[in-house]
Amino acid sequence: MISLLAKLLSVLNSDTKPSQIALAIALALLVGFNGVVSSIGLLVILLLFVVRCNLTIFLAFTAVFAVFGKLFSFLTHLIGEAVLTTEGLQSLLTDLYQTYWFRLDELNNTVEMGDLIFSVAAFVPVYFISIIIVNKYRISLMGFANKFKVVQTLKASKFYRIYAATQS
Amino acid sequence: METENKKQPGPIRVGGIATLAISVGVITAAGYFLAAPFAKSLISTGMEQAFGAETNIDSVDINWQPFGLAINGLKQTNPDKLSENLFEFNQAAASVNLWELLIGNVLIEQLTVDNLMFNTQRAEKGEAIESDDENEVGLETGDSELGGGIEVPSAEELLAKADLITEKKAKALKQTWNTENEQLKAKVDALPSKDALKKYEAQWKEIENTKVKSLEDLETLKKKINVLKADLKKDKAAISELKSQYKESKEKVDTAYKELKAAPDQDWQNIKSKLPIDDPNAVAISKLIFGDEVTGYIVKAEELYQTVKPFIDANKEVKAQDKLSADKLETGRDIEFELEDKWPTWVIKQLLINVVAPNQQKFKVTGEEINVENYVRNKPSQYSVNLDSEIKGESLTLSGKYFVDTVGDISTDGDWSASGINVDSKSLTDSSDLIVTMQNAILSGNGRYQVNQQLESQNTVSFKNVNLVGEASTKLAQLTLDTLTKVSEFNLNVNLDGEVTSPNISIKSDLDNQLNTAFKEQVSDRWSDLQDETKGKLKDKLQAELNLNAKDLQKFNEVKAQYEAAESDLQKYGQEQLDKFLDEKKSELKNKAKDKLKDKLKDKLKGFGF
Repeated sequence: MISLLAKLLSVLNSDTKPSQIALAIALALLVGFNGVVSSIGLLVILLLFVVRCNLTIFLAFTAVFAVFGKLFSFLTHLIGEAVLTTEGLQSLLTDLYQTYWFRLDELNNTVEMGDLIFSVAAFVPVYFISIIIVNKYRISLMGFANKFKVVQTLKASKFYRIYAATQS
Repeated sequence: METENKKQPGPIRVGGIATLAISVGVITAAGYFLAAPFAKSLISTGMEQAFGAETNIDSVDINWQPFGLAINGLKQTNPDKLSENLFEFNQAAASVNLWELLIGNVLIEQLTVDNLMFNTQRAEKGEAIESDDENEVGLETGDSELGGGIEVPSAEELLAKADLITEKKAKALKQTWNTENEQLKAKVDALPSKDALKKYEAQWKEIENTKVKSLEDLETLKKKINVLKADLKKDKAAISELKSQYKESKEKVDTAYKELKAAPDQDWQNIKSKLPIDDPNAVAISKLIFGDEVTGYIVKAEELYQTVKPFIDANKEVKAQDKLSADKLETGRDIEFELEDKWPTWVIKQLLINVVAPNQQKFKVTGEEINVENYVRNKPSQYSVNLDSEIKGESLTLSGKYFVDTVGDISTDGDWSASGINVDSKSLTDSSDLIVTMQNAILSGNGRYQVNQQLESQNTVSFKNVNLVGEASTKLAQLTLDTLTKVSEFNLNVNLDGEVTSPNISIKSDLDNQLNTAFKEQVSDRWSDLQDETKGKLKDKLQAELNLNAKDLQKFNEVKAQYEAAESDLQKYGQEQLDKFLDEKKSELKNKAKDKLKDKLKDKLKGFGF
């Protein structure tokens, strides 16, 4: 846990672009709420190969958002219920229900649908908020964090050097 | 400064794309090359665990577009007989809808099984595999209740089983006889003894010899006669009592005897009413002969029903459990939308199986929409069986459909027809007293069946060029066999109704009509013999029970002779005789007195010159 925290700090303190960190957080939001074994989860995994973003941040925040997903399931259930029972959407939803991906994702379930809607809707705000937070952090807190011995040790490690090389 | 000059990487990972391409390539190649051996291993292990014996598979092919599986050369060892295969086939190919499979429904677009054979010999003995699940439920098939042999019971058996009136009446007669005999004996004992008769004789002689010369003598005689009369009165009363007792006893004994004499006939009528003596049709020849065969098919059908039922029940249980766990977890609510193509948990849309029967006849089994949740698509499953014969004119078709509803009840209906089917050496009945084998025949027929909680089926089968042979161990069975061997063709109507697991079977045949006359004659003779024999036994029983032989009857007659003799002996001492004797003596005395007066008068008149 400490090691993971150190890695996170190390990433935040590194020269990794804030947009890459923010994208990792936003993608983690999608996977955390919808799961890896889902259409959106698999799409995110494919994107991770193609789009440059920070994997450490992604993995850490996936776990965080997965916990959030469970904690806020009562909320996502209400969102899902509202969407799935909206009269005007019945025709569209019925058409979508005919598709395999819709049923594979179990999107007729109120919680699953709520998770999807919430995560997709929150994707862009989370991305931009993350950029702002990372920038703010780097301006006000990075100097303070770099003084931690653990961050210095980590940045000097072979693993970090290899990781930094792969980011280039 | 170095950092500032360093070129910032773009948003796309070029290396990542390469990694993705390599990863996909490796996974695809591994799937392509390893999927088939993996599937073969998985199938053979699964089957070995399920059947508890070695499974041999030549190869497994996997098709990716459309997704499907082909098992080549499968041989499943019979766990009960390792030198035999339970079944084997050349190839079983199934094309599966992968998307539905991912959702959890096994949607087999087409399943074909080529050259499916049962109970074939193995080249090498198979190995028994220890199964994880030893809880196999076997279906016990009891002996057919319809099988029963044709057995004419012996006279002894008939008499032993019957509640005989003869025995009851014999007992009644015996009791009447004993009671009446006692009473007669008492009355006989009261008859006058020889001494009494001698005494009467002496008294009578004394009376006879009494000279009546005067009125005093007459008075004395009168007294003697009165004494004799008084003595005789008692004895005569005893004779009279014996006489009326004899009459009463005779009436009672006669009635009991008449009833007893009529009893064997009544017994015979009773016995006859419970046995198919007058109507050999009731011996249900066709039912006796074909009952086993029909029952065998019903047992098979029930086995199939019992085999399928647990799957349906298990499916229902799984669904109920799923629902329960979903409720417990509270992971939202599933909102169902109307699906254009709904599918049950598993379904075979098109089924084709080529079966080779043990007699090498080939059958084509086809099916559509085969599943156990027909209510999902509201579509019945259809099935058909066709004989694939090379012989001209030989055909067999069976087609039907079934529907499993939401509560798991199966309803089915269908029909079948057959023509020109060669029947080779078919055992019809193998009871203890009659074995009948149809050595050859040509079968044609048709029928229909319907199961909707209750079974209803009508079937007509006709046999031509029939050759029946067999063995019989009882007389009636021999009669049946003799008659059957003369039959060259017959029709059979088999009707079933009632519960699926225990249907009522009605088998009618013109075979019965054909055989009836001959059978009736022969059976009637046999029954006639039995009738004589049984009646003779009843008579013997009558005599033995009764113990009323000629000596007893003579004894009864002796009583009559006794009281008649006593009556005769006393007849001369009768009231009239004694009164007559007294009157004679009186008259004699009177005459004598008259003569005496006459003589006196003559003597006196002589003096007057007359």
